[in-house]
Amino acid sequence: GDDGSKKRRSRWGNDSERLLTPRTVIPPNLSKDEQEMYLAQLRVDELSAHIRVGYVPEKRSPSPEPVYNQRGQRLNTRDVRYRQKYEKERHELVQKLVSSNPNYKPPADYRPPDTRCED
Amino acid sequence: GGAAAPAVPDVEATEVLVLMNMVTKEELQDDEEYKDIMEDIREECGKFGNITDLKIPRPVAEGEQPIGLEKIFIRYATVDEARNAQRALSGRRFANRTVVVSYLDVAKFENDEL
Repeated sequence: GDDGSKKRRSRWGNDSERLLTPRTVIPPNLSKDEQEMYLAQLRVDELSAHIRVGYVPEKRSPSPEPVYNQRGQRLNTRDVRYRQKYEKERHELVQKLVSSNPNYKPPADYRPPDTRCED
Repeated sequence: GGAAAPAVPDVEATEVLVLMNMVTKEELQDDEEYKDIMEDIREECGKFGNITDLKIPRPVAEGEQPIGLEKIFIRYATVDEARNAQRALSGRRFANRTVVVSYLDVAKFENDEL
């Protein structure tokens, strides 16, 4: 049939993409804060994997206007934008994890964002 | 040695399944997206039983953080249905994120202690 014009694509992934690990069940008896940190850690690992493979999701929304540098190279390609997005989210989560647990070890490839020196 | 089953934490099931790491507050703020997410949840989670209640807290005012934000609470008619959903949904992908699950006390759910 060709009547699928209104059919949205579901956000659910199929079973073949399923991650089978006990980490996806929250351990019992965690406090609210512990639960938050547990989720933060899991998300940091997820983001690190995205960054490592240069993962970019399927296109859902229109891209912003291209931005070029002085040499005419495009700066805001999708892979660059997504990488920056992942880095930013990961940085915020790592900060949260470090402040709640001084023994927390950030991922090996993690670097705090550039802090520009002011002139 | 044989292949040992993964050490899944032994959590006690209730009728209320909690799904986490699926939605962000930015997505929940958008009316269209919120409606879509609701629809996706009802469609998939309804396969495992009779959903009697569904709560997806939304950010109300700027800077305010309602309890249970970025979590999804699904009440099933029976504990068995919730357990089946848990077994089928943990580790699934949702908007390219990994679904993490737990349960909530029915009394807490009813009192909005999310």
